[in-house]
Amino acid sequence: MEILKNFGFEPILFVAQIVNFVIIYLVLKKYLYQPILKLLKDRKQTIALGLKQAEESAKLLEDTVKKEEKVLKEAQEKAKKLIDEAKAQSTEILRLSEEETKKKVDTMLSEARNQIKYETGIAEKRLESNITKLAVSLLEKSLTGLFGEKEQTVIMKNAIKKIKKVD
Amino acid sequence: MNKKLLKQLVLISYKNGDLDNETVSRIADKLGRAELKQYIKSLKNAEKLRNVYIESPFGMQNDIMKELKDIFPDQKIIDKNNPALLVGTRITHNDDIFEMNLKNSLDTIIENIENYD
Repeated sequence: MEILKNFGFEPILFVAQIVNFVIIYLVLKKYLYQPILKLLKDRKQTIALGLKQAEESAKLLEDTVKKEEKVLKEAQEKAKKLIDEAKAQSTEILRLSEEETKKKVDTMLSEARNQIKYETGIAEKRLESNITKLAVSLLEKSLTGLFGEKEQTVIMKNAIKKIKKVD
Repeated sequence: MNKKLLKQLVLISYKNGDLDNETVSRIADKLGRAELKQYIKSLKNAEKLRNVYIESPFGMQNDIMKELKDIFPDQKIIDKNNPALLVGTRITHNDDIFEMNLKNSLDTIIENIENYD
């Protein structure tokens, strides 16, 4: 106790200080610590919620990427299928078109051949006729003066005989 | 103008087997345009019936002419020179044509060749 007195310890002051401390503690606890704690707790919750949302977002992003990949893959497959079908259709159309064109060309060729044949026939006939006419004309020219009254008389007598027979 | 009258006009247009120019002129003067056309047509027909045309490249010999006159007793025989026939004759009486000449034979050959397929 002597020692405490030597140090300046006053029990009444000490109790008063303890009471002050308790009062300050209670006041601080009620008006300062609790709101701060509440604020901290809310912040913690917000952060946790944010983290959770971030995780969910990351997961969602991952799912979306996977889904996108899947959709892209499906789209690629569909596109490939469509391209294959289009290729097949175009090949078929090309084949049909070629066949039709070939048929048309064959028909045209056949018609052209027939036309050529027909026109050649006409030309040959015309040529034949012209050659004949020319030959006859030459014959007529060469025969002129070859026959005389003697032949004429013979023919006239034959003609008269024939007319008499008819009559 | 009826057919009977037309026939009479044609008959009186002939004198001694030949067409009388004076008579024909007198008749023609008295006819209208349409009647005149009918009259001329009838005269042409009568001429065709009365005349026999003998075409030949040479002149007709008397003995042959005589034979032809025997064949066509009531017709007038008109001898026409046609060197294009080459040799032979073409006898035309009304619408009948009798051909016996080289030209016709050659023409027939050409026709046959043209029609030959």
